[in-house]
Amino acid sequence: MREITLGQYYPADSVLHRLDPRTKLAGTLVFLISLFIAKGFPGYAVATVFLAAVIIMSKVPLSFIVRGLKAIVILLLISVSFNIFLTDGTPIFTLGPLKATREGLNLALFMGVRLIYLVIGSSILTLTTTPNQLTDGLEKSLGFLKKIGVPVHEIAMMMSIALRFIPILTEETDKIMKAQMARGADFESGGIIKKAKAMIPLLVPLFISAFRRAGDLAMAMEARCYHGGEGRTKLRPLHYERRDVIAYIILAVYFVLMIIMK
Amino acid sequence: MNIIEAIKLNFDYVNREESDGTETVVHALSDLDLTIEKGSFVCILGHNGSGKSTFARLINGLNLPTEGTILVSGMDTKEEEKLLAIRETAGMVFQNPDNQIIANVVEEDVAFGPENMGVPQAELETRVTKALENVSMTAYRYRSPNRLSGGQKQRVAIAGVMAMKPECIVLDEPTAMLDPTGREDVLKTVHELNRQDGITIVLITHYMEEAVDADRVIVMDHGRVAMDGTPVEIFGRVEELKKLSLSVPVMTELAFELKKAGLSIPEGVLREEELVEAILKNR
Repeated sequence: MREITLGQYYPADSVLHRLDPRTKLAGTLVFLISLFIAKGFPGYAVATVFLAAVIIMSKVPLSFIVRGLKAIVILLLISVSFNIFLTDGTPIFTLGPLKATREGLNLALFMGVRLIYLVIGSSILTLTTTPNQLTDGLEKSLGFLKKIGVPVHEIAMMMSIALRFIPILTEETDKIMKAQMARGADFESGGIIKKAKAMIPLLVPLFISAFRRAGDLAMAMEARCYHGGEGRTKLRPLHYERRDVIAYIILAVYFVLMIIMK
Repeated sequence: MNIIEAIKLNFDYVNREESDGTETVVHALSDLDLTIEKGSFVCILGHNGSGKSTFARLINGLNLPTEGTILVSGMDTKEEEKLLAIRETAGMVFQNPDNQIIANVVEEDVAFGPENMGVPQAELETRVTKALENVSMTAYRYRSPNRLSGGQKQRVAIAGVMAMKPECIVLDEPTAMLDPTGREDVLKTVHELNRQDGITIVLITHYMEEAVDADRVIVMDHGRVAMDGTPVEIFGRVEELKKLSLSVPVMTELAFELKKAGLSIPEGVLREEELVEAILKNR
């Protein structure tokens, strides 16, 4: 239980791992947008080359990256078949009442590729960035929202505390569950409703303990002079390095290329 | 010089009965007068509800006194603008090691306090290094706190306070949730900080054994000081301690019983070696 990893960070020593999280966030965003700009074959060819290069640079095994696709297999199948059979155009073959068209096949292909690339693109971000770095990166890059009253620092602090407490609370759930099972509680049998009902005696103590922990933690933070983000310094502030500048240039070139190719 | 000075300190809180909703006012501290000298190692003992933890929170300004004053290095905790300075002067370590570690990496947690104080980055680095050295946790600098044992987590918490460069550390039952090895490690660390860096230590505990090596032992009962003196003086008064429903260190207890049985054993035996010596003299 202690080994629980959030997200799917894959530890490795690659250029991509060392990039500033802000660069990676920007990169992912640009890549996702570019997929929606691309319409024809040349655009997708550029995106494929770019993605392949990034995957190789990340040193993350392909199997890890593909694993992220499992979640969207059904979505992928549905959208592809809808596109094949429900688009009007020159028919290629019929399947009972369904008629597959050339245009549909074309559309389905691009649609499928786009979906797959979307998932792979964002997986690369989470595979090469620890949740902590991600929080830091988000706090820094969304800093401008502070001006319109969004409590960016507080949200980032909440995220990082949540990350710290997830394994602790998971362990606690496990303990409470075992304690209740030892007294004859049954969490496994029955339908959804029965199972959900069995969760109530589990959730009540868990919530009570979580609130108690929250109170303790708030006090401990206050005792260590926490008073919001104002005037706070950082042990490891985010720094743009030369590699980040290079990454931004590559990104800009890629984006311009995608616009031309559309 | 006194680092902590409590003058006629009172703290009340309202206790609400769940079943019938009746409210009773509990006097956690009543007219407590207490001073703690700079650089000393003070141990505060007392059974549950004696007011010892309340006192700890008042030192740090986490609770404010109902009546009376508490001065930390001459600063009154009631003055809000001094609160941060007070918390820098008197750091606090709590009972549950899990609930006081904020960050996901050891070094970042140690840096949390000084970060809040706005210490510049270059100095943060040296402070973290020094604080981790102080508690012998340097090897764990880049680890996740979740993988540490209770004693190690508590040492990280102490390092987090040390990095704020306090003059005094208040520890509120820091060993209550630890195994014997963890307890020993934490105590050793605290004693070293007291000896080598001259940090004033206020150790609140209900383990009598932990008080043996203190400079001064304060026994609290019903929000007042019941006994105050050196460990030898306090543990010499076995019967009085028992009346306050406190035990005495095992060796002291044994010495007390042996003496009752007719052996000639001096007052205030605290350690095994002392008792062995005293028994040998009886041959």
